[in-house]
Amino acid sequence: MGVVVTGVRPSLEQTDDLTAAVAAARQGDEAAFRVVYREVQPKLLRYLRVLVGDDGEDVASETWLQVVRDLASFKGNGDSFRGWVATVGRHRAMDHLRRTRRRPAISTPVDTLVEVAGDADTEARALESAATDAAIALIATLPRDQAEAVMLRAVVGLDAETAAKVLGKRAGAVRTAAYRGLRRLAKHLDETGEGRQASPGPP
Amino acid sequence: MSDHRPRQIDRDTAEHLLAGAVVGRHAGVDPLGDLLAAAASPPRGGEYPGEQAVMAAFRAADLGATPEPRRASMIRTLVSKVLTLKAAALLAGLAGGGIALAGVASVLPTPSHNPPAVTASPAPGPGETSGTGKTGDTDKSRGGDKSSTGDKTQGSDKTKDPYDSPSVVGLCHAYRAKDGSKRGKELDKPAFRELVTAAGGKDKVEAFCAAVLASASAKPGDGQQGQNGGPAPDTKSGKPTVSPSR
Repeated sequence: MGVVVTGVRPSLEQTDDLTAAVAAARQGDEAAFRVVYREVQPKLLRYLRVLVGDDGEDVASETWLQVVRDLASFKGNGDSFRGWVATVGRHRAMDHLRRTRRRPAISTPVDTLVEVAGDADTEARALESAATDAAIALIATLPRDQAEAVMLRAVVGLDAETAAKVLGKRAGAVRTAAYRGLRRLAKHLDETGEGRQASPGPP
Repeated sequence: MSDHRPRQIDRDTAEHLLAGAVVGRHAGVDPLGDLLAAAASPPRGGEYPGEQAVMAAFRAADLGATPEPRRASMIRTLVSKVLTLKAAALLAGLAGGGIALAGVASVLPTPSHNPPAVTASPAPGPGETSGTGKTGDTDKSRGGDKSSTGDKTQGSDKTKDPYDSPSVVGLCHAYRAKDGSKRGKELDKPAFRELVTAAGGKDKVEAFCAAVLASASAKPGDGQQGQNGGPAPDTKSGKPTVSPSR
């Protein structure tokens, strides 16, 4: 049964699709829940990697177990579901950081970003995957409020208001943080990108 | 595209980029667009690492049923009683062969074919769990399992909502109470079949229980994120340490 939905179903861009799937999952529909999971999990995982580095997988699992447990009491549409999962994930990540008391570390070297990201359009899928890892790793180097704002908006796909709820801030503050984050990223890409275009093979 | 104009993005551009990244609208436009598009690229194969465990948890949650609260709590009480018995039986079975286990098994809702022969032939443990450092704990817990395994997490479980899966949590406690070298063997027993199924395989039980127990103690959610900062049970959910050698 689950096999039906495990394929390359396109991302549920329409909130309505996710809303319907969440509603069905709340009634115990396993196939619908798998759709929900497959839609939200990759984005959650990337967001968590920015927070807890390579422990993101563990924290994501904890997050989903809590989501499953509390799913019956969830009310809202697809967008608010994304926000709710991100909120749960964030809390689990903060708990995790308190437990381990160490800084997150992502194993992908940030330096590989520019070459890989620049070629992502034309290269193989493996390279795209590397580009994704590298992009996440670079975003993770931002100050945390900026990194979170960028990830929640650009990757998890939340609007500023929903992201603000996740972060416990005002929407304006989240917009500003994301804006600063993007400016920083652009600056970094400018600095390293020039070198790339001048000499394709870095030393 | 020009080579290196200084990229001074304004707020409108930023909003545009943020909103469009998920649909990949900006890929190929400029490096920042590429970066965001890469970060928000479609899912890859390796991004569903815990899917089986999550789906098992979903099945265990039995969401369609929505029992009425009083009934749910009665069931929970019953289940926890049964689990206590079951844990006692398992421990007794460890010490004194299969007699006690067989006796109690007839009362339990476990599959009825629960042959005493299982415990009567204690094959040498494969000795798989390497260095979890748990052996000391479990020796203690065999003497008084209630106090050591019970109070830390079980106690807080009682206040949880009916969508907990007490049986899985209980089985995880029972499993963890086992001696490290015997754990793999224990999973062959019918009593743990549900746990193995929920975890999605014997080799996944260790990690599954780590996640279950961590989240069980982390429980009721969003408002109280500080709750489990303190007690921090030893459920650093690392990679599975059990690798069944069979």
